Amino acid sequence: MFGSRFDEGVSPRVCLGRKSGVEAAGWSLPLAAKLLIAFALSGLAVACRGWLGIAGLLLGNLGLLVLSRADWAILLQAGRLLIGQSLILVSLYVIRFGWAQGIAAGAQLSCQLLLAFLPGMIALQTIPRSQLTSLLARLLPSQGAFVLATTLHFFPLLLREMKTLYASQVLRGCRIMPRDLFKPWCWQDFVQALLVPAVVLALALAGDIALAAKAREFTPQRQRTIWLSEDRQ
Amino acid sequence: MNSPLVELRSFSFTYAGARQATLRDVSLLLHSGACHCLTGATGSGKSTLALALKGLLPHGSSSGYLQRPAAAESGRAGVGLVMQNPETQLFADSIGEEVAFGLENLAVPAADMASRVLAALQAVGLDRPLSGPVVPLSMGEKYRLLLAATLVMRPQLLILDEPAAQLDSAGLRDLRQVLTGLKQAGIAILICEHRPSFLFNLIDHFWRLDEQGRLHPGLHTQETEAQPFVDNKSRLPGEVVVINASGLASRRGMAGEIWKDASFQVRRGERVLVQGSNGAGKSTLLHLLAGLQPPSRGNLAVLGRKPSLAGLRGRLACLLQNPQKQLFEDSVAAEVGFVLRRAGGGRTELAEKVSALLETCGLQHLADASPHKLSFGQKHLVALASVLASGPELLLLDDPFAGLDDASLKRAWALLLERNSHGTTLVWTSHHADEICPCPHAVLRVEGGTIVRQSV
Amino acid sequence: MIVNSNDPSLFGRFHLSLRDAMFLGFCAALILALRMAFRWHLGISGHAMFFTIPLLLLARGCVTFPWAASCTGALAGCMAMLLGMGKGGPLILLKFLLPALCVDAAIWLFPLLLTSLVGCMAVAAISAASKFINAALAEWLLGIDIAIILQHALLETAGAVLFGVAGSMLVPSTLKKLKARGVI
Repeated sequence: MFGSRFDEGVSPRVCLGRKSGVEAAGWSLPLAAKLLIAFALSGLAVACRGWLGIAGLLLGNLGLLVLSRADWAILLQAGRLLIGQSLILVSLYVIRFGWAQGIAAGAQLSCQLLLAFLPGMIALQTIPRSQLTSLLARLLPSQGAFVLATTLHFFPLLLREMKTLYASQVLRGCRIMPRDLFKPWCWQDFVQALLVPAVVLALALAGDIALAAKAREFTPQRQRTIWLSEDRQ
Repeated sequence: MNSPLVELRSFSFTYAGARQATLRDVSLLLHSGACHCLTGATGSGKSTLALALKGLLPHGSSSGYLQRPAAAESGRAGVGLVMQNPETQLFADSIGEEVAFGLENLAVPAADMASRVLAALQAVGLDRPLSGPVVPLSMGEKYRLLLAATLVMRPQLLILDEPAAQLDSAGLRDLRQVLTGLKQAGIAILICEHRPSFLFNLIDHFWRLDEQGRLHPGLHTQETEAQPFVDNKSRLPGEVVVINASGLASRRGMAGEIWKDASFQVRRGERVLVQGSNGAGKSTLLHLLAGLQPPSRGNLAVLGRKPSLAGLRGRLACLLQNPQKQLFEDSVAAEVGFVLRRAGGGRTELAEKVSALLETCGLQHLADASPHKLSFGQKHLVALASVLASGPELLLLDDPFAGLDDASLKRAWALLLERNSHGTTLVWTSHHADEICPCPHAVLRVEGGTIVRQSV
Repeated sequence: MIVNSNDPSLFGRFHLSLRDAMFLGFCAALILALRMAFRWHLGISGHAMFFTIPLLLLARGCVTFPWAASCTGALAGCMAMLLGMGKGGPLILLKFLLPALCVDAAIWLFPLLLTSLVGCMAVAAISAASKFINAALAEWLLGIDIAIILQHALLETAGAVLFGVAGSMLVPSTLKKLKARGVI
């Protein structure tokens, strides 16, 4: 239901360890260059005015796509995400300026919008997760970095527990199935039988994990050393 | 004699907001190389004592004297603690990372880590590459991994909280071997376990926490362990097939098929035990039966139809591990009567049914109490009564009584047998061969990548 | 259940224990998971606020830390970046952080807002309305006509406010039940 993204864990020690994870096969743009180019392209997209500029930026983004070894499907993904917004924008321009001018201006701005967001999407999708977590670990306080990675690591467990809770309650007769939620008189069941127990579940799991971390001598204030995996020893 | 590693003198602890002390005037001495076992009913304070010795007690008030081993040098922990649920204690994706997590927290230099990690894995007999993944390990292997992850910090005292709850016979055998080695190496061991028969030859001293939180020395012999449940009132199962499986197979998560070519039938009124080692796929089978997940192959009919939550609502009930998570009402009577209120019917009739059910559970006197404030065993009974109230045709139980004391367990099974005698089919899982439960009519053995029905 | 409640605090009630921080992390992960699972193709902007706002409110209501919602928003933004979700690239952080800051600010000014339905709905409306800033800022930088910006941003914000307020209606009763059980 939630896709494979949440099935992949993020090791807390990777987050805190500043260790590079699995790199994409072959050469790819270095992280700093990628981020710099993405930032520059986004900025130019915001500042550019005219179809010539848009054409240039499109080439720039395609270059970034190739150099980052990104999947071309990201273009489709970006288009799908922005199509709704673009339609509204074009419609508003048509209402304000008439058909010819409205469509031209609306289309141009929609392209600019796409080109402003696309470099960031390419960068995020092609930076190895371990590098990204290392970057975040530098920016976040140590407890924050640990919480981020540990939460992602244990989230599938929480989801499994919630799914089981949901099933048990449905079988008991609670009116919490999707079709029940359209009826306001079923909302009490949703709150009482699902939402409250789910929050209690999350709190309990959070408590257990925090206790387990402390049992292994984790303290946010103490400076930690890093385990070097076999390939880096 | 060596000076004790642990000394408690009249130690008491009360949780913040609690009306009575969880530990009361506890006095205890632990020496190096000795193995102690702390027994007591669930909720008696065993885990609290373990946390006290580890220095992890939450907010509360304490009194008395407590001396516990401090780290003798940097890079060591004085006390190592392995808690009950391995799933919430595994932080890393690979074996080496997991074992090294504690060393990182202790700021051990990176150059010193590898040798310590390898030594710890050797001590527990886990022969796997350091880069090997954690997820595919069996529960027994995961528990040994946790032991290694604790031993790598070179504690002087090792505390294990309810190790038998998660381990099957093979896992317990491995654990016994590891603990024997550790004892010989001079490490003090404290095991909090309410069913310690698997370690009788290892334990030097037994202790028992009573319901008031007082500690008593107790020589716990095998004879005092509860005898298997003997049921004399069952009637023979009927002819109607309630579960029909043919060529069934199932995946777990992203892994391949965990079992396949499973073909079996279960008849109305039968008691069926699903048995297998940890990780064999017992819970997965129950999830399939309840309609939580579809099979990857084969045909399955439950109560005459393809299983789905909507289709089985009201006819099938399930009780899962830690069933107190399901409790949500403000009173025990309301909790038990919830499903009856949904079904409709008069108030008087409803009250009578609830009252009768509570009386069977021995909870009549707690009808107006909040179910969230009851003891562990009482919560289990309330959860059980609440799913039985509607009189389901099929009841699935996924090891719901783990950690329950024998008295509560017997009461729960009495209730279940009473329902079974009225035609409710029971299917339950267990990974302990000697657990208290009534004699099943058949066993579904989950092993070797398939499920085979065996008559008893 | 042994609850590892707040550690001995060095800063009075402004200490965020590891357990509470983990809970906020779970709330953040749930925000993302629900956004992914319920991508309603209604063409109505702002429907994601139906899950985001209530979870931010719950995070703030369950954890006694003044910046609980902001921490949740920040974590959600970081997770979204890690998982490569949504449009906007790194700007996705603002998408979660702005409403979260509004929640914390509102509760700081009026601490009892979460105890009443009207209060919750008011906080939800203000937080969801912060989408206006996100929507308007990006378009202003692009040079879009001011009138169009206002119309478009208002349209997006209206949807966000409606969904955010609708989702927040269950929060007061949930918090009340949690308090009654002694969980918070």
